[in-house]
Amino acid sequence: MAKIESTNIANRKFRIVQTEMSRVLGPMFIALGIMSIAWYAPTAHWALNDSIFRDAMHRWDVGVVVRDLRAFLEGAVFIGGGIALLRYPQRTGIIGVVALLLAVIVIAAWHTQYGWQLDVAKSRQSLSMLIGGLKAPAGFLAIFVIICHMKRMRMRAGDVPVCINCGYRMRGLGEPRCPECGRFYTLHQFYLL
Amino acid sequence: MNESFETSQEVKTVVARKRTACRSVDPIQFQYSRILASMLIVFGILCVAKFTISADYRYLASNIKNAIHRGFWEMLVVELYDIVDGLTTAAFGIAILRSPQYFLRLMVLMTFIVSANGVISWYAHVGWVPEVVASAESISEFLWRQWDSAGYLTACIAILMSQRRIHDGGRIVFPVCSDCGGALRDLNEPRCPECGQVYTLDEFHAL
Repeated sequence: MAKIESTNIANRKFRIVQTEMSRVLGPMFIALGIMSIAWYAPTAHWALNDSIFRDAMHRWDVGVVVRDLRAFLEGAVFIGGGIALLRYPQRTGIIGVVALLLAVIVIAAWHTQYGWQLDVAKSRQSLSMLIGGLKAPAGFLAIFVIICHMKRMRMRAGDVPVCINCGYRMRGLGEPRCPECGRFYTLHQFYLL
Repeated sequence: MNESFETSQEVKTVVARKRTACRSVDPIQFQYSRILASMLIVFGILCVAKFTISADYRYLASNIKNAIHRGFWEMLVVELYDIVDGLTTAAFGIAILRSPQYFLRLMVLMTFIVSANGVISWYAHVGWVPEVVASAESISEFLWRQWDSAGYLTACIAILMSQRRIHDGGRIVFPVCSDCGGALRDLNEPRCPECGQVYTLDEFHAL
């Protein structure tokens, strides 16, 4: 019972970090999505009028459709993820899902454009497109991994305050100062650890 | 004697400065500044990698020489757009990790530099010919170059609002005295100002 209670206290405090993080990332996702769609809008007109694109739509050629509508799809994923984060700020998994979907879109578009032939795939333009496209998914995946790691550390420590600088478990102290690294905390900061 | 006194004074000054810096950082802000900094470092590394892979160095060198020789400084920004973007982002990511107390200021400065880099390279790419500037390609190019700075700007505004929420204590929970229910905020010692109940730090943390 005591274990469950202490986990609940740790959980409650970590939820504040998660909520605040989601409230920063949510609007950021929406802005990135709007920019992607606005950027795509002028080119969408050409893609939709292109006979190759129409033919691909007719044949359900997903690769060509993803390649031509890439910015629009990325925008839709960003906006959807941003709204979901604002609606459910404690579901950090949304960030991982967004990163994964973006990576799938980028790799599908890259594969359609260049294929798996190594000589082409090794070429500068091909690798440049792949790395440039994977910038956003990799960044958001890093966020997801770090939040999961922090959550696991927090849960493992239970209700013991953990120094945010060095990870020392600060139990049984006389003053709010980490004995390991010497970091000072105000009482409010110490309470939130 | 005098020297050791001066040394101890210096140590005291450094400790006091560190203490002030630590006090000014909220642990919540500290934690998500670390999370965002990691994202910025990954962004930066991938931008630099993209530039390193895609750059044709001979062509680049001759273009840079040409730009310097003729005084077309904006051409330099066009050529070095990716690497400037990447290095700025990664450097600010590292700076945020090292000095989380300046988190918001560093984010705003980084947004400004990334945005300026985008605007200058767009200007050099498109020029000020009215017909070209108003074209769909030009607008698309501008939006593409401002994509990341728009995200950072929105993040800065959201961080500012988050800081207000944390400091005003509107949504963030403050500990409450288990005896009288008074809010225990802005305290120097773990003692309730209403009823005088004294807590150990462990009890205070578990409130």
